[in-house]
Amino acid sequence: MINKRIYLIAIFGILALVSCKKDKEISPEYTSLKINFSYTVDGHPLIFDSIMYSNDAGELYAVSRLEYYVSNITFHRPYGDIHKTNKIFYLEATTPSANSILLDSIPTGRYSYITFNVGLDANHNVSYSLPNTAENINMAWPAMMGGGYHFLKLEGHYLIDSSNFGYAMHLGGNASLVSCKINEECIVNYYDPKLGFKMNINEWFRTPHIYSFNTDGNYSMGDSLLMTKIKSNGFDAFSLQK
Amino acid sequence: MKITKKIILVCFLIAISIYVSCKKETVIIEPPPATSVLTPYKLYVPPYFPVLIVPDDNPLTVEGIELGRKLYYDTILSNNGLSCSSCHSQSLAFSNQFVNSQPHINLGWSNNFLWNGKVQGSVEDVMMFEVGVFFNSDVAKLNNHSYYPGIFKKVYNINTITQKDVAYALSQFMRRLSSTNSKFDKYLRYETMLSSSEMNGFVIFNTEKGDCFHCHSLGLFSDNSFHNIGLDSVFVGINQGRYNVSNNPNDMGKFISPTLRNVELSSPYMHDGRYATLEEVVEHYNSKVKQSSTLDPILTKPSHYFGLQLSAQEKNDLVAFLKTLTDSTFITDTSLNNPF
Repeated sequence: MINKRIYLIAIFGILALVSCKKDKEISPEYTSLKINFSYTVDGHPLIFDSIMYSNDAGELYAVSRLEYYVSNITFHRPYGDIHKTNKIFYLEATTPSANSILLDSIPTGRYSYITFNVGLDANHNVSYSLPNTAENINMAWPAMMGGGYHFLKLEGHYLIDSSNFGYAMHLGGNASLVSCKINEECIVNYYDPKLGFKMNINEWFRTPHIYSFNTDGNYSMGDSLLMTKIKSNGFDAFSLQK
Repeated sequence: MKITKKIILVCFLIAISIYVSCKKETVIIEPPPATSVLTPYKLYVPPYFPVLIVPDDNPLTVEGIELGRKLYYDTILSNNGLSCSSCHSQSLAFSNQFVNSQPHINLGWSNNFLWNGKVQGSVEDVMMFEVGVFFNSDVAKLNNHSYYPGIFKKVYNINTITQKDVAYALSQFMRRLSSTNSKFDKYLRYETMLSSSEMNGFVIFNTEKGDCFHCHSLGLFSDNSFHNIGLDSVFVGINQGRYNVSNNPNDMGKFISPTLRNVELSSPYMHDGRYATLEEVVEHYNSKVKQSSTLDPILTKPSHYFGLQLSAQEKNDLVAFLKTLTDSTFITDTSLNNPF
């Protein structure tokens, strides 16, 4: 009888202890996923303002500014199921704190590939649709050029016969929305919920159009032909950071 | 039976002790000391402006702004007979023609201050610089004054005025110096029309034709960032700009984009006042941009030109548009003028 009472005390105590434990806010089937963005040029870390990179057109160039929006990140399961997210993120490559994003409630497990946009879809690419942060105001695409926001600002310098010139690859307007695909398998792990997206700058100038600042053009804004080339090239600009 | 009662008692005590140990710690919050009632001030922010960030420990109040205004115009801040207003005249949109001081317009939205960004942070930070370094204000004069101790007590509930308190009060007035009622603002609010020339200038300003908007974003007409706009190709002394602060060669010749609001009133132009008129400024961008390794990329135009190649009419139109940014309300607002 006394033994039973001792068991009763023990069980009661354990139950009381368990009842105090903080509730888990999320089940292991879902997790908040952190994605860190990094930047390279054909395997070399991007160092800003250094004319030391070469594009496929053979031009030496540097990057001085890289700002863009990422939206509609979608995770694709091996058998066709998808998980869409609807947040829009502003990224500014020179500032480490502006290169990390957090997605809520992502189903854990294995994915075949990931898609997302560089830019904003037509529903959101409307002037002042985003919160009026200083960054969003500075990314505005002029109303008289269609309104909305710059999707991408990629700027820097390049050399022609040792002379230094600037380039500004700006994308904006609904037709310039960049559909990106990271065609790599990945696992969203509840216990280590993070991924790395790596942008290879040279991919913006590589396929399907080998882009030359000198012959194609160094200034894309207002030039739909140049923006189309850059947009098309951006399809595979990202890969997973292993 | 006796044993059962003991067991129940033990269980009860265990449960209570566990419950108590799990209970969130109680934090006793001391009520704030009694202060006088202050009147909150709501600053008008146009829908095309960034959100105004006001620190929790320095909310805008009618009384705080008025205190800041008095300090702004009072020579008591300095040791040489000068006040803020000595170099920042309201009639010139709080700028000055002789020392080429930057205008005090909409600084509440800035986080880089002075031409080379020597001070970064909030308005409170730059005011702390002005009070502590530029003026080296003697707060004893304020503490012994017949008016200031009482009003500081009322606004900040302090018994001894420090340089920080002075900077905070000035910050309230600086945030109040918002210019949002120019002809262009009225145009955006559908209250007026732009002339044909002004409208042409607006199109030039806000498209790749003039490409002004990238650095002078609509709203504040500044991106609050640093650019080399091709004033020089060789950099000496103050012309080194941001480099003088960062020691980064990539910052050579870069200066903060000044707001273009009330630009008609804030001559001379550029960090060293080298241009006297808006026409000269426009001509700089049109034909006088000098090449260097830190020249802002967007100043290399298609086909590698370094100028806008505007016609005479287009240049006139651009100047006409810039003049629509003049805010006559701002420069005549009696709540901003000298209270003494």
